[in-house]
Amino acid sequence: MLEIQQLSIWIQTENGEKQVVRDASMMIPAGQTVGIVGESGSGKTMLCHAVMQLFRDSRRYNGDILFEGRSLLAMDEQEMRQLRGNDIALIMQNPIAMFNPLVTVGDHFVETMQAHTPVKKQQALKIAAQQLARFQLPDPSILKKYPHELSGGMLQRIMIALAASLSPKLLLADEPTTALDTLTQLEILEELALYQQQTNTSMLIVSHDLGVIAKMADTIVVMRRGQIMEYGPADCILVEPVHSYTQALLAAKDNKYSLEQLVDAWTGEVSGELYEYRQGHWVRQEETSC
Amino acid sequence: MGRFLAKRLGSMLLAFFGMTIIAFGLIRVIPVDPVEAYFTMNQIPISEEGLASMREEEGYNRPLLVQYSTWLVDAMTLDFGESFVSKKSVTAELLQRFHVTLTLAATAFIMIVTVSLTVGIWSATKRGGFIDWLSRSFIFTLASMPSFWLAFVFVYIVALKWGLLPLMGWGSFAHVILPAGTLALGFIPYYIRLIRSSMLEEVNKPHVVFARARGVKESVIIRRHVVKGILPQLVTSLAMTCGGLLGGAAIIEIVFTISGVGRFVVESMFARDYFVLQGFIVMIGGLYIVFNFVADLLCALVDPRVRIKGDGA
Repeated sequence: MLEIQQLSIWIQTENGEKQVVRDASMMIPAGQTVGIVGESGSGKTMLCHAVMQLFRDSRRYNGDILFEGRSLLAMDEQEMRQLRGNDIALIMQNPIAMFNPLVTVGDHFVETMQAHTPVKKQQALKIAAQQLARFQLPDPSILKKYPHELSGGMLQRIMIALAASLSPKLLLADEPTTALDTLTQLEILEELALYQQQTNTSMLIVSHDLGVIAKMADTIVVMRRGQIMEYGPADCILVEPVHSYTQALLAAKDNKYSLEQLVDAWTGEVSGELYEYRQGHWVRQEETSC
Repeated sequence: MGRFLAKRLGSMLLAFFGMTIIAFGLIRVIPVDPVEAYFTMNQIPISEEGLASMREEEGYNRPLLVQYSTWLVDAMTLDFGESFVSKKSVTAELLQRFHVTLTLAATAFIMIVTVSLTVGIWSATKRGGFIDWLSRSFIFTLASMPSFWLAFVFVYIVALKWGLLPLMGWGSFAHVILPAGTLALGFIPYYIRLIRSSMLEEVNKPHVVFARARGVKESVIIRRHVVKGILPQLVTSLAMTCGGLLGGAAIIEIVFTISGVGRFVVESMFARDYFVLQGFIVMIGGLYIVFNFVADLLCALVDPRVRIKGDGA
C-alpha cells in the first residue's frame, strides 16, 4: 500500500536547511496499522506531511514514497490534490486550530466531498450526518454549528468522520488523541480501531504515547531525532524490545514517567546501522554496553 | 444576533451624541466670532451696538448648554441654519451638492475595491511571480506621490495630451472617471498591500493547511478560507475609507473644478460660513458612524464569533 524508501527530509529554517528525517524506510501493508512512536522532534509529523506532500515548497526530500506503486514525490500538484482526502486522508493534531472558525462543520464536509466527487450539497450533508453518527455524534444539528461551539473531543471525532467520509485507502493519524482527556482518548481510539476493522483501511498512527501505539498498531516504528531506532512487529517490540531506547520507552510507559524525564534519562547516541535482528524486526546497532 | 444588534445600535447612538458635541464645540473653539463674520460677510458696518443686538437676537448670550440643546434639536430635524453667503438653508445647500460628491466617492470606492482585490489576491497567490513584483514596485511608486499631484499628471496626460476624457466639469459619466480614479489612486496602494499581507498571513494558518490536506481545490481554499478570513479586517478598513473619500474629495473637486460638497465647504471655510461648516461636520461624522455600523454588521455576518461576543472589539 505505502512504501517509504530511505526517505530523508530537510526543512528550510532561518539558518539554512535542517535535516529532520534521515534514511527512514518502512512499509504499510494493505489493511494493517503501523504505529510510529517517538518524542517531539523525532520527525514523526514530518513523515505524515511528507506522505501528504504538504509544504512542498519549503521541504526537500531524498529517497521515495510509493503509494500503490506510484511515487508521490514525482506527482504534480494536481495529481497530489486528487489523492489528498480521497485516497489518503490525514487526521491532524490540535483539532481546534484545524477547522476554519468562519465555516460550519457541514461546509467542511461538503467542500471535501465536492473536491473529489460530483456530489450535490444536500447529498454530501446526508453522508456527513451518517459519518458523524458512526463516530458517536448522532445529532445532525452539529453540521450547522461553527467550530467554536464544539469541544475538542467533538472536533476530533468530526475530523475522523471527515477523513473517513470518502473511504480513503490509507488513513494517517497524527497524534489523534493528544489534546484530549484520558476518557475521550480511550473512546476515540476504540472507535478508530473499530473503523479500521470494519473497513480494513490501512493506517499510519503517530503518537508520542506508546500506550496509544500499543493499542492500535500491528507494526511499530520507534523514532528518535529523525532516525528509526527499531522497527518490527508489535508483538515482538512490546514483549522483547531490543534497543535500549525502546526499552526505556516501554519502562516509561509502565512506570508512568513523563516523556521529558525519559528524554533526559536516555542519553545514548543515535549512531550505528540498522540490522535485521530477526525476520522483519530491525534494530539500530548500539556502540556500547558490553 | 438580536443582542448584538441592540448593543451596536446603542453604541451608535452614543457615538452620534458625542459627535454632535464635538461639531458644536469645535466651531466655538476657533477664534472667529460668528456674528462678526456675518457682519463682515454682508458688508454691514460693524458697531458694538449692532453686534450686541445681533448676539442677543441669535441667542449667543445664553449659556452654552442651552445653545447646544437648541442647536441639537434643530440639527435633529436637519436644520443647521442658513448660510451667511447665500442666505439659503445649509441643508439644502449641502444636499444640492452632495450627490456630486457621492457619485465621485462611490465610483472611487468601487474602483478601490475591484482593483485592490484583483491585484492583491493575484499578488498573494502568485507570490514572487511577475505580477507580484510588478504590483509591488508600482505600489511603491504610487504610494510615494501626493494625490493632487497625480491628479494634475492625469489631467495633463489623459485629458490634454490624449484628449480621451473631458478635462473638467461635470455632467456625463466620462466626467466622473478621471477625478474618481485620482481619488481612488491614493487608497489603492494601501489596500493592495493590506490584502496581500493579510492573505499571506492567513495562508499559513493551520485550518488552511488542513483544507489542503483534504484535497480541497486551490480556488476554493483561496475564496472560502483565505479571502473570507481577511474580510472582517478589510470591511472595517473600507468603512473608514468611505468616510475619508466623502470628506477628502475637496482637493479633487478643486483640481477638476467640480462643484461638490468638498469644494463648497472649503469655500465656506474661507468665507467663515459658520453654519455650513457645522452642518458639514455633522453630516460627514454621521455618515462615518453609519458606515462603521454597517461594517460591524457585515463582520458579524462573516464571523459567527463576533455575533456571540456581542460587544466585539
